[in-house]
Amino acid sequence: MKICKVLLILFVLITNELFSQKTIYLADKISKIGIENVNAAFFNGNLLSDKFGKLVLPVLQYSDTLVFSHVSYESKKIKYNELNQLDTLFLTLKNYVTDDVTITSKTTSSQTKQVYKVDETKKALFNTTGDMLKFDAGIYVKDYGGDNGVKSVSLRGLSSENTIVLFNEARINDLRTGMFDFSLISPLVINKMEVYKNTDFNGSNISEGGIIKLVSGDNITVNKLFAGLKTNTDNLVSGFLNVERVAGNFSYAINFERSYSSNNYNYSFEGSDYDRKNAFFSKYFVSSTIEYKNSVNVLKAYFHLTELNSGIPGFVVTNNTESSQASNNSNTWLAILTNDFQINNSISLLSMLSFNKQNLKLKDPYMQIFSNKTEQKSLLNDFSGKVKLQYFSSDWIVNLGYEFYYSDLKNDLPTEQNKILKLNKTSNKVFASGTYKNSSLLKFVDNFQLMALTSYEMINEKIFGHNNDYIPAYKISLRFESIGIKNLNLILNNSISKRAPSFNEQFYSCLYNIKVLNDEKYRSWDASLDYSFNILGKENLTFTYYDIISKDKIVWIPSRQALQVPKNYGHVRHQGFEIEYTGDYLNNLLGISILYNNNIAKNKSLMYSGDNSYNKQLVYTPEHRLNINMDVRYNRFHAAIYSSLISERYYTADNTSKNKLDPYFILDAALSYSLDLFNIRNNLTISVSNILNEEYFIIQSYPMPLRTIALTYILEM
Amino acid sequence: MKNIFYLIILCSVLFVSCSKNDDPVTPQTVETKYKGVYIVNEGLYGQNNSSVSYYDFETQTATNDVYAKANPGINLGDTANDMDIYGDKGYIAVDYSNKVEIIDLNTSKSLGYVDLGVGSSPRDVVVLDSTIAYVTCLAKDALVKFNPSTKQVIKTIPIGSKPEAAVYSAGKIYVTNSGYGDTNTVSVVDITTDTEEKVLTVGYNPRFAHTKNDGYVYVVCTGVYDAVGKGSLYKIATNSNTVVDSLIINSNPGESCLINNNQMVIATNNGLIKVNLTNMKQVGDIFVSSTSINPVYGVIYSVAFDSKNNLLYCGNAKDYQQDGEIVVMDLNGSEIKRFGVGINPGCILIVN
Repeated sequence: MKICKVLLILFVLITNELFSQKTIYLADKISKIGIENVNAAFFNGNLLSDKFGKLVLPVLQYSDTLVFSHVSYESKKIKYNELNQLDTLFLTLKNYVTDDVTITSKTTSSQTKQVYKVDETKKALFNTTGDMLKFDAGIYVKDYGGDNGVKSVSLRGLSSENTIVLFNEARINDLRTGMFDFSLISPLVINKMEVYKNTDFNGSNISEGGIIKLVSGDNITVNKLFAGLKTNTDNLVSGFLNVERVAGNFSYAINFERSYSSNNYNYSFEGSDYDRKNAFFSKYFVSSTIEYKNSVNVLKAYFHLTELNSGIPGFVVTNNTESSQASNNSNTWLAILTNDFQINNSISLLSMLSFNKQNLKLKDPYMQIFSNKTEQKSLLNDFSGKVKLQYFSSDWIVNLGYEFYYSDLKNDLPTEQNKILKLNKTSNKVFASGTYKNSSLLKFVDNFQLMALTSYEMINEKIFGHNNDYIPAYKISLRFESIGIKNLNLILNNSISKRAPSFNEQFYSCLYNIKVLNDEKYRSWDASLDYSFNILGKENLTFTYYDIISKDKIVWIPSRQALQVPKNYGHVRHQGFEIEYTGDYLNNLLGISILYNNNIAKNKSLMYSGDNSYNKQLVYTPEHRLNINMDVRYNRFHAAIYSSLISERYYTADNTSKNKLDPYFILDAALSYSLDLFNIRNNLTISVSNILNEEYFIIQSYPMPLRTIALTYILEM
Repeated sequence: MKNIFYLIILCSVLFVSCSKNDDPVTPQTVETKYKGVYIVNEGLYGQNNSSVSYYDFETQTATNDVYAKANPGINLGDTANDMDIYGDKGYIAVDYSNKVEIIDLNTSKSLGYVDLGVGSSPRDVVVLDSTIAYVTCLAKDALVKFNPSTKQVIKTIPIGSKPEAAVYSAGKIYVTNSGYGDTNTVSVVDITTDTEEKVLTVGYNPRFAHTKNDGYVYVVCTGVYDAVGKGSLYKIATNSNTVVDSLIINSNPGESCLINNNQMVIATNNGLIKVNLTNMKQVGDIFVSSTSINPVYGVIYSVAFDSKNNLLYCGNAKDYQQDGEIVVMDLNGSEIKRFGVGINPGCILIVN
C-alpha cells in the first residue's frame, strides 16, 4: 500500500511536469514566419526551435530568465512568468549579417548538414571532440586508444585527409599530414559542431570526405562564468574555466583547460591482462574570443595556445608490453581574425586571416627510434586568408571569393643528424558558388533549389624541387521539396574534385621513392530522400545512397627497413547508403537518433594476376556501422545513452580471415543533475564509457580502454 | 523507451556473443619434414601477424601458417626477420616481440623463446652449437649472446650503430652496423672473449653479410636512398680482418645470396645481378628485372639459392598489405613457378 502511495505521488509529479511544459513559437516580427534554430538559453540547458519556429520548454521557475538568440535576429531576454502569457514571441531582424553559416542555414536549410549543440552533459561525457563526433554524429573515428590517442575521422570510407576541418571558419587540417587530430581540441571550448557530408555551398571547399565545422565562443549574449573539474578511473584530472562577458558592442570569452592523465589503462590481449605503458599526456589549453559588433560590422578575433606532451605507447605484441619512453611534445598557437561587413541590405563582405604555428618535437631519450639523436623537430607556419563577397535576395545567394595560404615547414631529416629540410607551399584559390530557390518553377514540387560551387586552386610547392599543381573542382546539388507527399524531399549531388598530396606524403615519396605523387582524383554522386513527419513525435527519416570513384589514391606501404612510403594506388570505389532517423517525443523530453551506415569501399585496381587485394574491402573500413543514441531530459536531470556497433574490419588488403578485427559494440551513458544554490548553478555528471567492458581494437595493436567511469562537476554563475 | 533500451542491450548481447570464438582449437599435424624451404613472413609492422610457410620439395606444395597451425592460440609475434637452423631446430628472430622463437622443424611446434627484453629489436641469428648463439639487436646497438638450450641471455656485447646482419667465420662474428644508412662499419667480435675486437670501414648502410668459410666475408652495403642509390660490395679477409676489395653497385643493392661458381646474386632496385667474388666484378647485366618479380612496386623482397637444384627463390611482397609469394627461377632468370606464402616474405631458408 505504501508503495502504491509513493507511485501515485510520483505519477502526479511526473504528469504535472509533463503537462506543465510551455510551447512557444518564435516568429519574424514583420513576416510573422516561424524562425528555425532560435536558441533558447535557460536555467539548465538550451533548446533550438524547429523549422516552424516551435519550441517546447521544460518547466521552469517563474523567476527564471530565458534568452532567445539567433544570429540574424536581435536577442531577447524575458522572464519565464512573462513568457508564460505568450503564444508567440516575435524577434526583430538585425540589419546586418553576423555569420554567413547561419545565413546559409536560414535561406538554404536544405543543405545536408547536421548541427550538434554541445551542452554540459556532452562536455562532461566526452573527453575529446573525436569521441563526440563518433557517438553524436555517427562518424567513424580511427582511434589509437586512450584519452589522448590520435583520433581522426573517416566519412564514407575515405581517408582522414579527405575531411576538411574548419575551426571558427579557419581550416585547421595539419598541412603535414593533411588530417586533423580531434584529440587536440577539447569539447569544453566547443559550442557547436556542424557536419556537412557533402559540402557547404557558401564555403570554398569541395571535399569528398565532407566538412566538419567547429565553433567556439559563439553568440555570446549574457555574462557567464563556467568552471569545472573532471576525473576518471584512467587517472585523468582536468580543470577548466570559461568566462563570457558582454559590454556594449563588445563581448569576449576566455577558456582555460589543464588536464593530465597517466593513462596507463588496463587492456586484455590474448587472454592476459596488461597495463598500457607510456601513454600519458599533459595538456594546457588557453583560448580567447573577442567580438565587436555594430549595425554593419562584426569583427571577431580568436586566439588559442595549446601545449601537449604525450607518451608514445609501444605496440601491444606478445611479450612487448613496455615502450621506448619516447614522447611527442607539441606547441601550437592559432590566431584567427574575421570581419563580416554588411555593405547594404543585399551584399556583405567576409574577410578572414589566420596564422597557425605548430612546433613539434619527438623525444627519444634512449635513441630507440633514431640512430644518433634523442630529438627530432618539425616547425610548421601556416598563414591563410579569405575574402568572400556575398549577394543575397529572397531567391538567390551568390558568393565570389578568393583564398590563399602560405606555409613553410622545417623538418629534421629522420635518419640524419643536424640536417634540416626546408619546404614550402603556396596556394591561391578562386571560388564561386550560388543558390537559386524557386517555389513555382516546377509544378510537381513545392519548392526547388539549385546549388553549385566551383573552385580553381593553384599550388606551388618546394619539396626537393619546385612542383606546380592545378586543382579544378565543382559540385552541384538539386533539391526538390515535397515531391508528391508533403515534407518528402529529394536531394541530388554530383561532383568532381582532387586532393593534393600533403607535405608528408610528397616529402616521403620524394625522399625514398624519388617520385612526385599525383593528386587523388574523385568523381561522385549521391541521392537523398528526406521525410519529416509527426507520428510519435517530431520525426525525420533520411535515406542516402552514394557512389564515389577515386583514382590515384595515396596509400602508405611498408618498404625498406620498416620505412613507410606513400604511393598512388590505382582506383577505389566507395558505395553505400546511410539511413538516419531522429525523433523528439513527449515534448522534447525524449530524443532518439539512429544512424546506420553501409559502406563498401573496394580496391578496383587489378595490379597483376596474383593481386589478391582486387575487389576487396579497404583496410580498417567497416562495412556496417550503427549508432543508437538516446537523450532524456526530465526536470533537473539529463541522461544520455550512446551506443555504437561496428562490423568486422581487415588490416590486410587481401581480407584474409586471420587478419581480421572482430566487430564490437560500445555502450556509453551519462547522467547529469543540476541544482541552483545561491545563484550558482551546480551540475554534477557521472558518466561511464564502455559499460559492457568490451575488449576491442579499432587499429590493430592499439587496445581501446575497458570500462571507464568519470565524474564531472561544473558550476555556472 | 523501455523496449528501446532492451533493444540496445539485446543488440549488445547478441553482438558480444557472436564476436567471440571460445571453441578450443585442436593442434594440427603440420607436414614439415625438416628438409625443404622455410619462409619467414614478417607480417605487418605492429600487427603481430608474422608467420612461417613451408615448401615441400617432394610434393612441390607450400603450407602456410605452419607455426600457427601447430601452436593454436599462440602467435609467432611481430615482424619476424630472420631464421637460422641448427640440428632440427629453427631459431627465429622476432623483431618487435623482442625474442628469438625456437621451433621444432619436424613439427613446427614452439619449444619456447629467448626473451631479449624491451627495446631489443633482434634482426639476425647465428647459432654455433646447442649452447652458444648470437643475435644482433638493432635497437640496443649490441650483439647478444644466448644459450639456445637454457634460453637464457649470456652477455650483451656493445657494437656499432643499428646492427643488422651477423655471420660467423674463423672464430669471429662479423656484424654489419647499418646506422639506418648513416654509418659504414663492420664490427668484428671475438667469440672467445665476446668483445668487439676491431671495427672495419665499408660502404654506407651495410645490411647483409655472407661467407662460404673460405677465408672471406662479403658485406653488401645498400647505400643512401637517393636517385642514384650508390651501394657497394666489400670483401673482407678473415685471416687479417681487413678489407681486401670492393665494388660499387648502383640502385641500392640489398637482398643477396651466394650461388655456385664463387658468385653472388644481389637484388638491386632494378633487378638481380651476379657478381664474381673472385675478381669482384659484375657478371653481365641485370638477368632478372625487379618488375618481373613484382610488376607494380618492382621490389625483390628476399632471395635464396637452392644449391642442389640450382634454383633461385625470390620473395615478392606484392603491395606489402597482402599475402606474398615466392618466385622460383633458374640461374638464367627463367621463371619456373610461383607459390603463395604469408605477408612480406623477408627470409627464405633452404635445407637440402
